[in-house]
Formats: sequence, structure tokens, C-alpha cells
Amino acid sequence: MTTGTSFGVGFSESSDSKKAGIQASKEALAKAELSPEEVQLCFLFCTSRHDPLDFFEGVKSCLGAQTQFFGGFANGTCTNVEEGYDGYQTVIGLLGKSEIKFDLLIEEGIGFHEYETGKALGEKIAAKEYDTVPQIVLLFDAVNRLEGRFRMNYGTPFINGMKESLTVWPNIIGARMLGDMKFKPTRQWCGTEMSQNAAMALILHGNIRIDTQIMHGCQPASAYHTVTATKGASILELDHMPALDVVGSILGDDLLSSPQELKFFVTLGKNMGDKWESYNPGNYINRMCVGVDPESKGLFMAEMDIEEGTEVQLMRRSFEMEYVSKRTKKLIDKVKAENRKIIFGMYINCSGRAAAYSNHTDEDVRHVQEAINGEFPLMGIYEAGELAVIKNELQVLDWTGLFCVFSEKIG
Amino acid sequence: MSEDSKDILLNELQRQVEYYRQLSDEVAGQNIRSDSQISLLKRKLIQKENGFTILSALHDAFGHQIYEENFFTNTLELINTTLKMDKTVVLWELSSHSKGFSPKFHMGYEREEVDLIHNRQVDFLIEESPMVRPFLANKNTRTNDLIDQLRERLVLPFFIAVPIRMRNKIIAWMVTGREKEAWPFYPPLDEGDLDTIVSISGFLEAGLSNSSLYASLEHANKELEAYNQELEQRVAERTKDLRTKNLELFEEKKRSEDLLLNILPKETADELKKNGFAKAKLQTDATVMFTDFVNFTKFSSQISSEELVAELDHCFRNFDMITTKYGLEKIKTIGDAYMSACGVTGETGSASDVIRAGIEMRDFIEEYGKEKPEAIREYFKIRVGINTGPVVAGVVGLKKFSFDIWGDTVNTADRIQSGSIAGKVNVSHSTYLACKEDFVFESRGKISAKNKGDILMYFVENK
Repeated sequence: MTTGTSFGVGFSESSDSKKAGIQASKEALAKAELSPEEVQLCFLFCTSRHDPLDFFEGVKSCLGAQTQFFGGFANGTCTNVEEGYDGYQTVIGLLGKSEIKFDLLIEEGIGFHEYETGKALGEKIAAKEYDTVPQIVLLFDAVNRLEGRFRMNYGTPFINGMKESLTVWPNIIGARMLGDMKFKPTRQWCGTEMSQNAAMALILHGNIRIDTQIMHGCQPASAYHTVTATKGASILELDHMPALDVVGSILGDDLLSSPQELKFFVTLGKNMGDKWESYNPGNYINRMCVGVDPESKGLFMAEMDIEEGTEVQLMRRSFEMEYVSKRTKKLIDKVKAENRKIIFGMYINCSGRAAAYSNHTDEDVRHVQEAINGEFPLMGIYEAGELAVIKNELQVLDWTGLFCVFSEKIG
Repeated sequence: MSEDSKDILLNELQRQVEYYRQLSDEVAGQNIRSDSQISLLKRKLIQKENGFTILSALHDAFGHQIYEENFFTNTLELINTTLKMDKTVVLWELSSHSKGFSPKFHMGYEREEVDLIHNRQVDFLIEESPMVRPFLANKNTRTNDLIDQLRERLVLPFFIAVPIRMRNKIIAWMVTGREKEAWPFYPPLDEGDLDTIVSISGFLEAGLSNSSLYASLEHANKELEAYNQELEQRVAERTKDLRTKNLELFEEKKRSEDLLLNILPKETADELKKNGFAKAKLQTDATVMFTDFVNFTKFSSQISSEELVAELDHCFRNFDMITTKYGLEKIKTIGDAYMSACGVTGETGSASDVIRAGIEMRDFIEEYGKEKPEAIREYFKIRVGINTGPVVAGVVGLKKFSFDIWGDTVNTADRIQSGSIAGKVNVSHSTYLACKEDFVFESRGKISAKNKGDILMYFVENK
């Protein structure tokens, strides 16, 4: 049965945060053809250049008291026709006139307590009853600046914590949120409140399904090297030699004089499939190096899921834009073939894939937009880690574009 | 295959694996480094492209009037968003301190930071000499007092500072930069970025000149407008004065002309105005009328002179109105006598109108007399005498111009008046002949007139 769900997306790049909130909300209302009182759920994202209070106030001023909010900071945003990052980008997605049921759950205090936060949020999710298999959008703060210095909130312990509470992984997509590439503290919005240092979940159930397409941005470049010593998220040794020396010998010893240049430059890939099989993006989990410790000669990775004994390859950042377009179309066609109406698409993109930060001259978002061709609304965000289920396990992905389709069954 | 051969082959294969493994890593390293270098070059290219985007946007602004605040705010926003800067601030020269500069426009600062930098002053001095060249401070730059001062006071660790000049004098400094320099997302600011910001500052200088020129033009326009308004007001006031004066003059002239026309017939007055004199002329068809109060001498002895003159004035004012009504010329008053005529200014006179006027004068006096006490009522009767014939009319003398008529017709008219009786209008034979169809005449036959012998006279009444 068609529920007649309406969805509209608005975008603004105004440097006036309140005005940006108002502009994007009004555009979304107009596109969704909804009155403020008809909006049930509002997705909202803005960059850290914005004043979060002003932005939230601007958005709220356009919507009814019944509206629930879900979103936070992003390094950039996109719609069907607009895209931008590292500026004053904002995006608003409004859902209304829908029979889809949803719950909003939040767990604060993720900094230094990823596992506990994941576990507590998992318990909250498990405690609820759902009509159908829940479809979850999971967002959590990437930035821990509780002690001033930046520390990434890790997804691996968070996921492990959630796993403790959930017997089976529901269908989950999500992102680790950041508002810029300088890792300023971020904000989250859940329900009607603004928060920070939090993890939160939007649980959709009823006539709704989320389908995903993972699009990697790296391919293996080197031979396999075995991780022989780790400490937390830090790889200390590769092939029984200091990790920094091994990477330096591959990339050029001159880099060893300025090892900090390796961060956000070195990406390691973990092949989950057959080692000698032709490259299959679906089998790879990529991990970015987010810091270097010259003393221990270790590499700090974005996640702490690379264990001793794991074989990794140095990855080369490269992807064919045509591949993005093809994979996007493939997912759309698959969903439509199942007699489903697409309510909206969501593109969660790794900030590092943006042309300004990678060696691309083109934006992959453009190819997603092109593949959709205005058929349904697109709401996109640039974040710091994409969450998707791979081989029945929730994973944090690096350097990945995650295209998601929210659809309802027709008839 | 022998065991030795197998060992040799295995050893060879292991060496091959190691060789290809190393080769693979080498190629990987080269590829990744190449990617990185290409990425860096592309980033520089993109940064340059972004710089040109800003210059192009600024260039477009020159088609219109530039307003300083808008222009700076928009440029600062463009720099931050397009060149991926975190904060940009323009420090303006303090009027009270020739070498000090203080923030005037800023973009990218958080609320608390705005309060922090608001009143901060920076002296752009290097070893006590004014800094005049653009400079950059990235993480590799050797620091100095000025860089330290800017870092601390503007809460901006990595920046580019460029002077903004007007008429060869530094009037402001623009400082733009980043809070963080981290490879690969935020590479250190370099000379290329400095060139871009210097180019932008050139446009800011041009924008300021444009703004200043427009402001001068606007100021001049306002002054001109104010001057025009003042002028218009003065002209309006002058025009109003002139109008008032003209009106006064017109009224004065009209009064004079009316006065002149009161004294002289229009034709005579026109001639007198034109030539300074008016010749007496023969008018062949004039009708002259005299009125005279009966027993006026006796009446004048019974009332005061003022009362007498007041009575005469009242009666003659009414006679004036009657003569005006019938188009007669008032010639003059002689004591209690009132002399008027028609046909004395060149236009053919209507003797009938003179008779009508005479009858109306008589009726007026009789009606007026009824309002008077019984004792004096008898004095409010007049005799009227009218005669038709030629007269000489005009003005004589140099001073106190007075229009007058002369001739036998005039004398005869006076005799006809004398020959009349109280309350009667007495006309001569010539008048009778001119008007016999219009009135009822009562022939009186020939009546003796002083120095004229016997003259035919007629009483006349309306039909």
C-alpha cells in the first residue's frame, strides 16, 4: 500500500546561520509540498562554520511544534543539483504525510566511552518493539576534544558495544560526524534538543526499507604486509619491523624526515575475500592513517580493528567516476524492480573523497546526482566514516561513498 | 626432476616472489607518491582557479556603485569559502594613531572571538619601521614580533597579511588564514596563496577608490541638489515677491486708470496717455443733461455744510451709478448741479438713454426724499434739462486735467434745466425730435430762456 510519504530537500550556503536554516527549510517545505504542521521528521546538517544554535533556531522557526529533528554537523552537503564542502553548506530533508513509524534514541558521552555508549544505545534499540525489521540511521560524533587535543571517537569499540546488546544486526546505515577537516567539536540534534559528544539512532519501521550501495575510493597498490604488533588503534609493526620504516621504505625514505605528512595520506586495505582473487571492492575494508607517532614509529589508524596477524596492503586512492554512476543506477533499478517507490536517496560520502582533498578533478557526488537524474530527492553529507553492514556485520568504512535508498512498497 | 633441481627451482621461485614483491612495493610507492604530487599540483591549481573565481566576482562588482561595508563583507566571505580560509579580518588605520590598525571587518570568527579581537590594536612595525610589504606566516616561517602579535591578537596562527593602499598610503591590512595546517587537507600557505591574496587586495583597493569616488559624487550631487533647492526656493520667493509687486502695480495702475477714467472718457484718457495731451474735438451729436436741486440755497441754510455735502455726495454717487448704467459721461458737478452727456467722445450718443437716466435720477431723488423728515422733504426734488446738438469736447490746459464740453448746446441745456419745474424732465425740441418715438412728450410750447429768447420745451415721461 502506498503511504503517500512526502519528502523534500533544501540547501543553503548563506553565512548567516539563522538565515541558512530558514532558506533551506523553506525550500524543503516547498519541494515536499508540505505545510509546517505536516512535517513529522526533519533531517538537518550544517558545517562547523555555522553557529549551531542560530541554525537550529532558523530551522525550527519554519516548522511546526510536532516536528522531530535528526542530524548534526557535516563537512559538506549535497542535493540533486547542489554540492559543496568546507564552506557554509547546510541541507534540510523534510518528511511528512507518512505512515512510516519512527523512534529517536540518543546516548551521550561517547568520548573515551565508545564501547559503553554503543552498548547502552544498543540496549535502547533492543528494548523497543517494531512492526517490521527496523531500518536504522546511526550517527555518532567523530570528535573527542574533551581534553582539548583531538582524538577520534572509534567506531570499532562502539560497534562492539552495540553488538553486545543486539543479537542480530538490523539494517543499519550511518556516519561518524565531523563539521570540518580541522576536527572542531561537533553538535548533534535529536528529537527537539541539541547535543554533543553523542551517538544517536533513527529507527524507521513500517512500510520502509533502506538499500545501500558501497562505493570504495581505493584500490590495492602494494604487496601484502603482515601486522605484527599493535597498540589500540596504532599499528606498531609490519613484517616485524617498525610500521613507519616499512611504509617509509615503500613511499620514499625522505618522508621519514617529515613523518606527519603520512597522516591522511596513507591508507591500508584489509581484504576480507580471497587473497589472490582479482580486486573486489566489496571485500575490502580501508583504514586511513590519522596520525604518526615518531617515537614508537607507529601509525595511528582511524579504527582499531586491525589486529596482529592481519595482512594489509597499501591502497592507492583512485576510483573511476563511471563506476559511481553505474553502481548508483544499479541500486535504483534494483529497488524499482521490486515494485517499490523511492522516497529519497541519501549519500554519505567520505570527506576525503571530495575533489579538493583527493587527486580528482571531478566530484563523485556529481555522478550520483546524474544517475538519479531528479527522479527522487537526494540529501547528501560529507562525513568522517561511513557505517554499513558488510557480510552481516556493521562496519565503519573509510574513503567510501555510501549511497542509500529509502523506499516504500507500492500496492 | 631431481631434489637438487627442485630446490634450485624453489629457491628461484622464492627469489622471484621476493623480487616481484619488492617491485610491487616500489611501484606502489611510486604510484602513491605520484598520486600525492598530482594531488598537490591539482590542489594548487584549484586554489589558483578559486582565486580567479574571486577576482572575476570582484571584477563584476565594478559595474555598479560599490558600498564599502558590503564589498568588504562579501569579499571576506568569498575568501573564506572559496580559498578554504578559516578567518579573514581587515584592520583599519586608527585615526588617532598613525601606525596602529584595528579590526573593522571580519569573517569566520566565533562569537566569543569577535569580542576578543574587537578592540585589539596592531602596530604593523618591524624593528620600529612600518611594514609595507605583504607577508605570510605558515608553520615553517621564522617568527618575529609582528607575526607573534598578529597570531595572538587575531587568534590566527597561520596567515597571509597584505596592505591595502589608497593614494599610495597604507590605510588597512587584510589578514586571512587558517587555524590549522595539516597535510593533506590544509597544506601550509605558500607564495602562490600570497600572490592570490595580493591580487585580491588590488581589487579591494580599486573597490575602495570606486566607493570613495561614488561617495564624492553622491556628496557633490547632494550638495548640488541642496543648492538647486535653495536656488529654486529663492527664485520662488523672488517670483512670489514679483507677483505681489506686479499685482500691486497692476492694482495701482488699475486704480490710476479707473481714476483717470473717472475723470476722463476712455478715448480722451487713451489719447492723453499716448500723446501727453488731448485735443478738444467737435462732436456733432451730443446730448447734454443738467440736473439741479430746487431751493438748494434755502436748504443749505437749514443744515450744516458737512451734512449738506454728505447729502450731495449720496445723491451724486447714485447719479454716477445711473450715468454709468446708461453709458453717459459724467462731465462735472457745479454746486448742486450735476452735468452729464452722451455722444461727446466720438461715439454716437443715444439721447434716449440720457432721458432714461434723467427720469431715473428724478425718481431716485423723489424716493430718497420720502425717507427724509417732512420738514425737509420738499428740498428733495430736482429739475432736469436735456438738449441735443453739437459740442466741442476735450481737455484744456496743462494741469489738473478735466474733461469738459463747450458750446451753445451746453448753454441751452442749462437753460432747459432752468426752464423745467421740480420733479420734471424738460427736454429741447432737438431732443424731442431724436426721441419722440420712445417716450411720451408733453409739449410746453415756447418758453422764455435767459439770453436765448423763446425755446420749444417738452416734459417727458416713460411710455
